[in-house]
Amino acid sequence: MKRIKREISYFVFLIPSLLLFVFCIAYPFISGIQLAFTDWDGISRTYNYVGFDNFIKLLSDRNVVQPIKTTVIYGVGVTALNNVLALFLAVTLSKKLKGKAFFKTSFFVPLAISAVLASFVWKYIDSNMLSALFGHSLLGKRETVLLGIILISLWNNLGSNVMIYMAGITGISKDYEEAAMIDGANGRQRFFHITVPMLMPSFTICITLTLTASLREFGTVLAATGGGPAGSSQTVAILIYDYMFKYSRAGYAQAISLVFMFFLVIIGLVLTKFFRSKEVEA
Amino acid sequence: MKENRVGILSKIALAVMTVIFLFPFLICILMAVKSKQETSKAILSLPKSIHWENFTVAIEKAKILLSMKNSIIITVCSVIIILLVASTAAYAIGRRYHKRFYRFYETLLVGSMMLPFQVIMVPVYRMYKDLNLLDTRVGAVIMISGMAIAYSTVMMIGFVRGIPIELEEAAEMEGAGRFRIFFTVIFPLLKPILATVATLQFLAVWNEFNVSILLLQDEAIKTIPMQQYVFFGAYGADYNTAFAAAVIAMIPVVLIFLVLQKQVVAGMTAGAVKG
Repeated sequence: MKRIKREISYFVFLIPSLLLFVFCIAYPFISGIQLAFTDWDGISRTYNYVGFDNFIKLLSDRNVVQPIKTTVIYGVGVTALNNVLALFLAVTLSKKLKGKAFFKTSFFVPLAISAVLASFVWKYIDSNMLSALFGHSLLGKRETVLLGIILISLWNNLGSNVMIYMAGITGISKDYEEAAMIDGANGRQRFFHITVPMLMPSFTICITLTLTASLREFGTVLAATGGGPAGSSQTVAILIYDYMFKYSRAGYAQAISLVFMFFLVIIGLVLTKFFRSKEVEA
Repeated sequence: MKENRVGILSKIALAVMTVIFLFPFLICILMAVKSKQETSKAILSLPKSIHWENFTVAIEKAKILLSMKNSIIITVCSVIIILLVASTAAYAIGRRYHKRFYRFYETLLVGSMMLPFQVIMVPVYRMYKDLNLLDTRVGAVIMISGMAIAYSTVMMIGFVRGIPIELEEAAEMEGAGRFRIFFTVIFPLLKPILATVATLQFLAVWNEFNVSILLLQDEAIKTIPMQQYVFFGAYGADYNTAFAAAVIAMIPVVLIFLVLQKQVVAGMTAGAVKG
């Protein structure tokens, strides 16, 4: 009796969390699986079950090909540039340097700015200054629009990966560096044979998180271009939103989102597994 | 010799990147205090005098006071709920870590962090429509909090487990109930992690976009990012006013960020270690 009472006294603490989790995530998720098999238009109160129709349609839907390409290019582009730049900054900022706090803050502050605001400011810079520099605005042209959005995302989000890489570098014992220096290893050798392998846990996190976050990017793209010009920057996340609110095909949008989620989870798991296998015991 | 060249080059690159990263802030301030005529002559020139009227016009046209109020209410309520719900759940999970049920729930929380928002967007919209929660602050607070508890709870579990159980047992011997133990013994000891989670969630909720664009479409209920999304679209041509609005929206969050930067760094890197 006393043991049960004790168990209950702990369980009570979990109840608010369980309620919120069920209401905000579990129930919508499960009812979403159901909605994917309907023709719900997003407006009316009723809908019909259509079996696997939505998924079959998806296989032959030409409208999804371009968004998938766009999403992959954007995701890989952001991930590659973000991590290369963040690693460079983290290494540089981990050395002795005058005004280090100032430099760090300049890369961290954009994290406080919303995607909407970041997009607005860069849109202005793009159409009034970059256009003079490149001869055309980056966001206004099909060929360069993704590059433009990638730049906005880099400015907005680079700081968090810089923080994580810097924490990783701080965690590497100075003994390894010193031992390698005594053995006559130069800067590049030390970077590739000590820093990089020892940073594998940071790579696991930064690369996996940046890729999965950028593949589902929504706010920055919507605020910067809305998917334009002529649909050239429409990502899968925007496509789902458009099917829901513009074309009133909520059931179909839900089917796309389930398939989308399936691929995101697989990519996340495979990447984590790959990088974990490369991690070395310190 | 070569070592040196790499060092100099990386310092130049650092300086260039710093300028690029600070440039948008410079543009914002410059544009916000200039007149339209001055801007059309040269974007980067300094104004003859500071045009404060841009700010008053912006406050009026962009409905900044209204959206500021909405943002403050939604952010404060959400952050308080997140802290309470996540810390109580982390306490239960951390203290019952040997029980399968609590471990399973932890796994569910971690798994839910991998879900893209799009997958619950349509069903949440339908559920909110049925419950008449669309365009309500309460509805937004519930959904924003619900989506943030997984991450916040997972960050706190390890911290709870690090608190020696003996501290609780002493209070238990004196006849204190579970609630008193939690609020007098555990909660105060969680302060560092609570501060970190509060800072990260403050920034996340203040800038929240996905839930807001789905659930808050009514003019009177819009938060700052939502209001800006509309305003920047409608007043795109009147850049000086738009930038004045941007600066007003930026000031509180940038100030708080600068003051709490240590917490942000701690949070980002601690959350990362958990991965």
